[in-house]
Amino acid sequence: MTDLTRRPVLTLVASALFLLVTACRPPGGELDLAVERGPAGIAATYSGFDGAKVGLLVGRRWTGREQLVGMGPGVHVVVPPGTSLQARPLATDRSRTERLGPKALQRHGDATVVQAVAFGSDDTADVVAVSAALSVADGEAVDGGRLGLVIVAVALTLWAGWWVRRRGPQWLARVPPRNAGFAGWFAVVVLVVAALALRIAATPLRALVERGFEAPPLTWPDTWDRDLDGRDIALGPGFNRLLEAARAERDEGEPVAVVAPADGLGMVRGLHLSQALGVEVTPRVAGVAPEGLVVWVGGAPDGEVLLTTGAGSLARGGASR
Amino acid sequence: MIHEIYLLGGSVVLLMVPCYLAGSWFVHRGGGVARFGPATQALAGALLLAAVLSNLAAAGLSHEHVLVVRWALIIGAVPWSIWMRSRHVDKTSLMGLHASSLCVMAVFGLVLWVPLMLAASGPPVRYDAVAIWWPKLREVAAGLAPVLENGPGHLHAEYPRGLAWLITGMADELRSFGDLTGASGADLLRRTSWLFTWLGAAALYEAGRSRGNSLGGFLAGLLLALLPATALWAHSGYADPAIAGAVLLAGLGLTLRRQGQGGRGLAVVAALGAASIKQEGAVLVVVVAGLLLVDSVRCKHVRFTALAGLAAFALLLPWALRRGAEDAEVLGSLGEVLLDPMRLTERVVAVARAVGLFLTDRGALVEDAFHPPVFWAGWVLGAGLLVLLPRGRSEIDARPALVLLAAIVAIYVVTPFDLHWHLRTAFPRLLLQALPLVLLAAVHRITAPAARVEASSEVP
Repeated sequence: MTDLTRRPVLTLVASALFLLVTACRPPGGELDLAVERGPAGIAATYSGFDGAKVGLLVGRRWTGREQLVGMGPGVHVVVPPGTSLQARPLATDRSRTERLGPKALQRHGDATVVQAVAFGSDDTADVVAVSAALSVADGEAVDGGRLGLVIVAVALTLWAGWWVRRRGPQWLARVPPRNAGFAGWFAVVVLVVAALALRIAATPLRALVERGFEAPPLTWPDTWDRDLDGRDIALGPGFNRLLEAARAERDEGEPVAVVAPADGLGMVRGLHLSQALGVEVTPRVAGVAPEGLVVWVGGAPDGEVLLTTGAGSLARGGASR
Repeated sequence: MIHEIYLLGGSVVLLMVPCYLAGSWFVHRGGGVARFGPATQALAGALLLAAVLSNLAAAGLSHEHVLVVRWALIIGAVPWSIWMRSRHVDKTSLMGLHASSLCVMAVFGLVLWVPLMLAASGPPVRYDAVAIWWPKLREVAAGLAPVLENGPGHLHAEYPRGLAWLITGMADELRSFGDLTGASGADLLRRTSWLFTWLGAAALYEAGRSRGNSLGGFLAGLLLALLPATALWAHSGYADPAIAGAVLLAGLGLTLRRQGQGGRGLAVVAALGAASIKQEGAVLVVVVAGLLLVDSVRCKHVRFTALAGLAAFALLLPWALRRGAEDAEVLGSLGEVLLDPMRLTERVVAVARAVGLFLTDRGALVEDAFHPPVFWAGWVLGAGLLVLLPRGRSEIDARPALVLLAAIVAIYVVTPFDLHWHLRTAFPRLLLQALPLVLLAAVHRITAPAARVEASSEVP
């Protein structure tokens, strides 16, 4: 295989590419979003992209409902507990603030939608997502410069590898030949320690961990109970209540319909409901239960609504799409 | 806490034992899998069971008979292993259960403890686990014939049933798990992801120890187990940890083969196991077959030419195989892509851009606003590739991972399907499939004793 580290000219090429990419970068900037929990509720602030129209969206992840609450740069919004956006107030005073860089999510025609998301939550089940999104005409507002940085970083790494490999032993003249692998050991140990530190420092939300969206912490936090029944957390607050209520109604012989919200996990939730209710969903076909079954994903309950939770609604009678 | 360790640890041991025993078939006079240790042997056994059972079922053998074959594979391997070990393998360990391996497995088990608790604590919620893998398990456990038509949604009904048969077999002796068509099946699905992750990390240690670099192998395994992405996928219920184990095992098999210590069977069964679990595992079959072919060519220049031919072959074969199944429109648009340089260039640039974004923005490629932490794994994999790129080959054969990566990315580029969909969903998982083998080869290369590295670099 060609020895790329012997070609420091790559550094020059990469630098030129970086300049080219940076020069072609249209005006734009970093979109910074923060969400914090205070006594008054969830507060969200964003800044960046001066001059651009930015919408700040606040919504609960589980219901998927989002509401445009502000336009323009520097908007600061407080969403008090108990509003329509939150089915119930967050249970504790613990909060979490996360700042993420902007994400170029997808292209729509000539525009790139850039979005930043931050979360506020307690440690149990409720996750409130706040996102700021904007559409940048002629796109590439952010990632062009980042791509250039990557090219330079890769080139510098190649050059550093070449240098350490060729010049390192001479530079470290006192190092005997048998220890020529010192740099390698050092790099591996640094990586392991960094990974360990990353895992120790991480304080993920249990709800996100249970739902498989976030890596679990290294040790089981004391604040997490040990009941080993994460169904309510994983499938949404109120899932167990909904299930029990549906079972009770079914046992009385009443035709009932459970309607799971049509959000990202609707199909997952619907299948779990079907399974737990013993609804005949053929093992060959996962997901949306076909018409005639009692579990629906999306749509609206037809009859009398008996119970609504974050995981869905239970209705006597039926449901329609 | 002690009670939990007893219950969860005990269930993992029970899951591992039949796989370990079935892996005894790979102990032979050259040493084979006995050169590594129990984790590697269990990994090999799991892939063997997945490959054999699912293919026998696909050939029409009844559910009961398939399970009888499974027991025959497990029980028959015991006398074989005893005989081989007593005649050809050094007797420093009892049944290959090296004390150091067991200690390291315990350490990695603790590092991955929380994912195991999560696997046992709730249902799978990742879409693929629920919509793709769980229904297959329920289908196999219920003894139904596979139906390959896809319903609504992204269900991949055509995927092979290797994982489902492996889990169904496990439950055959774990009666306490109850009805697999219900929540118990989902539970085992998540624990199986964990099992493959855990065995994979321990196999890195065993591979390092077998090359005289125990500490390097331990650090490689520890790094793998500590990565956030590993912890996430360990309890996901996905099949990707199994594919990662297959890629790792294929690399170890080819390493043994290169050194004249057998290993061909190990590599082939690893590839067949991958193909029996997931469609993209078929690419690993082509890669391993090609590499075995290339290695059999003595002349270096002919070998490189053959490797180039293999790359083209690996690219086209899946499409040749699917020709009968796809409609003419898809094949027509494939030709359009291949013959349109601008479109091809656009897709290549899109991949490069996606990789750049992937390495700078940890949420850029994910399908949901929540970010799976594949980001750090991407950097570690990138660093590993940089270590492996320079001239001179690694003592651990990382070619299955490297060629697999290149081949699947090439398939992304030349096929007419939505590139961004591939890059957002399959690409991060592809990185994780290649990660263990690349990590092992890279860490071993930069930490192995200098004399050993120099010697291996001189080998053409």
